[in-house]
Amino acid sequence: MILMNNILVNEEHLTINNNIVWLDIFVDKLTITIEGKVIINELTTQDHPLDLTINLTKNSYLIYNRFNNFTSSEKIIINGNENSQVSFNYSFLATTKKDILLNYDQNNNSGNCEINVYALAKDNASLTIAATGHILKSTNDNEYLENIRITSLNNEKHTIYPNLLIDTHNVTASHNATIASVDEEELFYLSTKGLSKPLATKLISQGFLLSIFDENYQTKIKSILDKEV
Amino acid sequence: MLEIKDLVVNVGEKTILKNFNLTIEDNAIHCLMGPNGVGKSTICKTILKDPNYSIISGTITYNGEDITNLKTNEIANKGIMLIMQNPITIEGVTNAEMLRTALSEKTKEHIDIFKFNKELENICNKIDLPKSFIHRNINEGMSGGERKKNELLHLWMLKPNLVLIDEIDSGLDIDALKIVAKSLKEYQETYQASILIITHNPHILDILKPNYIHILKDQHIIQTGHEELLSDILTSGFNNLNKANSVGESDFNE
Ligand SMILES: Nc1ncnc2c1ncn2[C@@H]1O[C@H](COP(=O)(O)OP(=O)(O)OP(=O)(O)O)[C@@H](O)[C@H]1O
Ligand SMILES: [Mg+2]
Repeated sequence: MILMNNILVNEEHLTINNNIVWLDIFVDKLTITIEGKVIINELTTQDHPLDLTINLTKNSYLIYNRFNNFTSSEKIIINGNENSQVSFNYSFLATTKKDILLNYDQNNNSGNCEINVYALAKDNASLTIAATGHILKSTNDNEYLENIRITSLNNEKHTIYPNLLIDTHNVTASHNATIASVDEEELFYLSTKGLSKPLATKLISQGFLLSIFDENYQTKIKSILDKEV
Repeated sequence: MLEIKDLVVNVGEKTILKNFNLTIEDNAIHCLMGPNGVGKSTICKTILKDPNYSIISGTITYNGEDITNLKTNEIANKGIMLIMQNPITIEGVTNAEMLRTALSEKTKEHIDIFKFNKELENICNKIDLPKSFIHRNINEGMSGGERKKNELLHLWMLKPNLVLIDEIDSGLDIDALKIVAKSLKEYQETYQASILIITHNPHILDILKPNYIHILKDQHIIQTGHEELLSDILTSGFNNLNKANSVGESDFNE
């Protein structure tokens, strides 16, 4: 069952408790506190810079889906908690220079964090993505997984800084960072079905941006993508 | 009709095929056999202009038109389809999306979504593929056998006149093998299409009943024959072929 709770966010603090929400963020600086089981589908309509902090409370669970085609730079900080679980899925289409800073800080035990950032760079996009997972000293049983991928359709310079700052032995952490152009094999496969190179590139790029989301969120953003890619 | 004349194909600096000649008439089933690594997949991918393979000399014509220098999608839209040995995954792109795009590209017409979906469902029934596959991402999370059936879904939707089928049997269990082979035969008969199939699987050939069997060795087709060639290969392998059974290229070019 999908509860459609549309929230227009005009304040700097927001607490979400056991809910599925669609967020349209209007402020440049926002702190969200997560209680219980929460799914956030972000569909912000206006292009603006964002300084977002997500505070997970004890035992909370969050899936955060975020897609945009904004030009502004962003800073996202996720604070883990004891036994908190978060899956932060962010994909974006960039056409200009854009910097993203993403931090996960955990100073409790048994937290689980998975960060997926998929970016498609076209036109004049030059991307810098810095993602840092910081698991503090004397914590136990944390998991951290970071997966940052850029597909580049241009010849600009893109940089990923994947950082794992791990001060404890009792942790499972991994990161994966890739910057690549559209896969030649995939292009060939689709051309054998009759798709021209531009159409095949479009489908592959769209698919790449959609692939980290569930079907529900995918459907919502497909219409935006159709116009843009 | 597909005609390949004196083809030389390289991968990088290495020549894989040389003096390669093959003619596939309309409404015929040809089978290509040969030892591993001899260039069977290479010829299929070359016909569709995989960028990894370069045509050094020779020509490929299809229905009288020289397609040697056409692009992959142009060749596909002329009605040639390749079912690859290892169909790859395309994340985030569903079968339906790809097929809809491909069909509207080919026909340059608006696709009636209702009819399109109905046709997809009918095909799924026909090839014993769950309908959920229609909206699944291309080959993502599919087993080897499911991938091959998924390609059949593409085949029946795109309706090519010439199908190049590269080792479709790998990954198929006994039942699936029968379904796939029967479906290929049915497709061929329905559309009077031509098939070039690469396989060493006698069960598939039993169902398909190829008109010609070609042996690829030493960079070109060394022998062409019929069913009897198959039994020779199955008993003696590729190294001890009985040349007496072969027919020359010219025998079936006429
Ligand atoms: N992309 C490639 N890069 C380098 N070498 C290649 C490439 N493709 C094919 N080759 C080489 O060309 C030769 C023919 O390969 P091909 O895949 O066509 O063989 P095959 O007859 O299909 O074999 P199999 O029965 O194992 O499928 C092999 O020696 C192979 O290593
Ligand atoms: Mg092969």
